[in-house]
Amino acid sequence: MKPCPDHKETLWLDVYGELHPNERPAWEKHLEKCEGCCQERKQLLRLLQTVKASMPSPGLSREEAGALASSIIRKLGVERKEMWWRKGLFGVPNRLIPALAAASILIVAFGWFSMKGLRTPSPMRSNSNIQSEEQILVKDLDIIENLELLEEMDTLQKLVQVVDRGDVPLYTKPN
Amino acid sequence: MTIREVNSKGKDSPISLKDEELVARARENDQWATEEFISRYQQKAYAIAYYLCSGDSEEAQDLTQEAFLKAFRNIKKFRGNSSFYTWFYRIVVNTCLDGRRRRRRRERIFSLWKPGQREEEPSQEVFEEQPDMGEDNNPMAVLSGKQLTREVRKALMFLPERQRVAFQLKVFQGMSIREIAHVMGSAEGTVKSHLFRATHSLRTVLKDWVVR
Repeated sequence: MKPCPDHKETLWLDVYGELHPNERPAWEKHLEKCEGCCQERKQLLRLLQTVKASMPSPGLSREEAGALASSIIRKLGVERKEMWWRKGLFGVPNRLIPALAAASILIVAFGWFSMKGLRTPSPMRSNSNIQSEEQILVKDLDIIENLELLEEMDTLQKLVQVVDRGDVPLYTKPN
Repeated sequence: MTIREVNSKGKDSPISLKDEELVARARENDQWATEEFISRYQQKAYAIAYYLCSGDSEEAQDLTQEAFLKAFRNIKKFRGNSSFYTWFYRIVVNTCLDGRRRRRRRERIFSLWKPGQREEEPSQEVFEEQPDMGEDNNPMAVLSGKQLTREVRKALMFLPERQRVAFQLKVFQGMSIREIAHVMGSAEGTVKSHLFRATHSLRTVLKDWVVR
């Protein structure tokens, strides 16, 4: 036999002990007449009792309860100390501390790099030094390569000087 | 009206205090209030955690502790819109559900690393072995009781999370639908629906046991 569909919600509320006291007399009257609802109610109650009875009833032993309580209190104490320390940090709100730390790191980094820039010579200057040294080297190489020519030119210059002085006749008169 | 006791230090003993007064004292980091709050609620909180952790007592203790710490950290945020214990039980339930999800994620990751062990290891979603039901020495009855317990546990574990929570708070903790609605942050109608569906599923699974 099936329960009445109209009384389904009332039946479930009754089984769960949630039926309003005003609705109870009418419901009990209905149960007296309706075999289907009565059977359904019995089955549901048996189901809940079975489920409840089959599960263990958990509980902390005295030792476990004491250990748990002392552990919670100890951890709370540690947390409260930490919170006090954080709150007392120059009166700055906690959420601003990471931002302040980041800003300080940036300032230090910029300061460091700018100081470093003042101490070291500029790269342009060193480049010009290198260029002048290279030019000297190129000149020296030119001199070495044209050394023979220069020696010849030196000989010619001496010859011209001798001729100009008139020590040597330019030509001999044929007999 | 609350009857107050005066202790040796000349202060009101928190034992006689109402929840609201206890909360007010705990907000001021009163050591007595904190201890009283813990001793007043730890059994109940543990019982809720125990069922939500599928009977793992160690995990239930860890999560109970975590819930208390969360409650004390946030006690200043309690505005008194609902009763204090429903506010606290809500923290307990949410802590347990989060803890279970974390654990499941961790297990999933480890099972990916060790695929060979996946099938060999028994599921962690099992209630710890409990003493036999009742004082009955009849071996058949004991066997039957154990089997029923296993069936009930299995049936509960297969319920969707919210249905299971609603059912456990109602049947094992004896909370009213209104209280469950506060704890779960749902409407009363939703809680009723969860309860009905859960009962229907359990009835189908445990049909043979109930009809006997």
